[in-house]
Amino acid sequence: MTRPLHLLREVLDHEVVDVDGVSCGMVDDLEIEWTPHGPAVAALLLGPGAWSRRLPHWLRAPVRRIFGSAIVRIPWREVARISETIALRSRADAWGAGALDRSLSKWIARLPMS
Amino acid sequence: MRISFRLAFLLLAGGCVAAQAGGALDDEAAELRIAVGLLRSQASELALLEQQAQRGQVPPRYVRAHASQLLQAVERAGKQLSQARTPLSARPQAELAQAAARELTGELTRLRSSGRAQEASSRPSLRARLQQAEQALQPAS
Amino acid sequence: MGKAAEVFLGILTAMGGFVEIGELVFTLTAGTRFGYRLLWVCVLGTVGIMAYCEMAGRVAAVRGRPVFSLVRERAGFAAGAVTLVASLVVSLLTCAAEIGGIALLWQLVSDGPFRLFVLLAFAAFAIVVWVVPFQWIERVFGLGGLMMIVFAVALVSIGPDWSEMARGFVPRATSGGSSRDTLLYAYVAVALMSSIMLPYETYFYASGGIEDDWKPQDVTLNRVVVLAGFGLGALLSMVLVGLGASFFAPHGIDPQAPATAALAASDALGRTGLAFALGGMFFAFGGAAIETCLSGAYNLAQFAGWPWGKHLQQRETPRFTLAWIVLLLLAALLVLTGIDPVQVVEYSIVASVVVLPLSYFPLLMVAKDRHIMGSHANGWLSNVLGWFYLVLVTLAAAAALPLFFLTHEGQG
Repeated sequence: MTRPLHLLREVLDHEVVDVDGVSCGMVDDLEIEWTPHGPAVAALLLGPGAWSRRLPHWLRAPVRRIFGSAIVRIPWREVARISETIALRSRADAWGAGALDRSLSKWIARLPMS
Repeated sequence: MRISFRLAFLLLAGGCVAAQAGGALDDEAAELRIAVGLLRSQASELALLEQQAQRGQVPPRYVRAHASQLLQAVERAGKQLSQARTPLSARPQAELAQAAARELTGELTRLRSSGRAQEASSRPSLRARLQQAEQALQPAS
Repeated sequence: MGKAAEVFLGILTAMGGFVEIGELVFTLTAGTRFGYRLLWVCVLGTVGIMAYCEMAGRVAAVRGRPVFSLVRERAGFAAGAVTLVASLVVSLLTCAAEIGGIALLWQLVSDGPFRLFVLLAFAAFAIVVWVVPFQWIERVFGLGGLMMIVFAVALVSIGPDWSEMARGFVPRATSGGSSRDTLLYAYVAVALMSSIMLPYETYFYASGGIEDDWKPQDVTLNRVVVLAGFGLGALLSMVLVGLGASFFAPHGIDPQAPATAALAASDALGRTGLAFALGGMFFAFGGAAIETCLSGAYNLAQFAGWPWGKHLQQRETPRFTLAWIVLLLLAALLVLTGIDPVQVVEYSIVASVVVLPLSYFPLLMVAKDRHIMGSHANGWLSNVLGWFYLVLVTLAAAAALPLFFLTHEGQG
């Protein structure tokens, strides 16, 4: 990536897709760290713990009670390509993304014609 | 962005409150007139249904089912009528409408079980009476 | 199947799926209360939904992205979340209205308690959406809805005043009416427009394009289907206005329920007309019930970044699958509370118009953005229409609730 990357426009709120093309969620927040070269993106943050921070303060507590405050943290080095979606180098379950999907999926797979 | 959302919401809410108040002030007999209008429409619908039943345009089974649904609508309208705010000047129309509602209910109950229209019907006068009452309740404009 | 056959089927499907219970009720009401004087609203609303669905379809074909992902990307999280919640509420209300209508229709053809038919409707549609592939759902319900053409036959056989009808396409001020009349006219105009431009339609159309795997070369196909299909569907809505004016008004009937509407068909064509009317309404309402619950699930999944789509298996899209089932169930439960189905229709239409600017704004922003759309970005016509309708629906949204209350919930 040699051209400047507009974090808000091209990364935040974009879909994250793993190496198999399965959707893992949206980039709900970014973790920024301070390096000798200046601020840099350390990780992508996904999950209710991340997006609830972007809600008005009076909504945060009730929302966290309903949706939980789990955060999935995907280190920046895992990002393979940024285009329409953020493509990762590995599979979703390596980082804990899509855990709910997998448990629901086992349950649904028991039903006919699924 | 946040400011404009709140402002929009406040304006909308204010507009609604004003409209509620405004709607209540201008037209005292409105609730009554609306209920009478519903009954008038239902009486007309009953007349049409019976006409089509006589001509064989709809099967008896369908007539019974339609009458059943229409009866529920009449009952709802009757409830609305009894709860409507009635100014003194509109008492005669309100009583007329109550009587008409009872007649309608009776006719529909009969139709619901038989599925066949009566030969001689009092329907035109029922509809006409309700139409007159509705007209009388129009605010002077 | 050849391209021509695909286009033809697409047009017929779009046409048959144009009218649902809200539109049925408000077109008939418009005709009954105001004669042909609201026909111009049918044209206005139809051009609007054509413009925005064309944009939505183009975005889906060119970027392979559904509308709601783009809403979040462009408008941000907070605005996107508000739009999401609003659209879910509206989808729920609309779905409930359709289910209520279907239960009423079933009650007309076979004995049984209303509540039982509501539960049957839920079960039947849940099974259909689970088992039947997307394209087949679209086609069956879209083509089945074409049975409503019987209303056009009924109108022609009644023989309305065609010149009077033609004059209805020109907007005129209500002459000599009281302020109460003017308010009611305005309310019915706004509600009628809203019933034609329901928000779920654009989302569903775009998501459907991705389900059908459209590519940039499908942009032209998209345009043809939208223009022809919706145009023909709009004719049906005008027919219903005409029936309100030429059939129901002289009889003194205010049609609010499907059973009442069917009387126009049976009057003209007897038992055959009745059968076609009831069948057509069943497919029209059923198609809309399915579209609204799927549309809500699409929006939620696309906003949250879940795997979604009927083209994938249910086990691959568990949260999306759960979402549409829950939405359908909640809609059925809402009807089971005993609320008058006709009232639900009214509330769903009013709620829809309030939500419409929120849905249209991000879509317009995306469709005209050259960075996103490249050479397929909005031309001058799409931009003009896009901005015109955005302003129009914003005004309508602001006026809708006050008008609703001022006209005693639309009853005058």
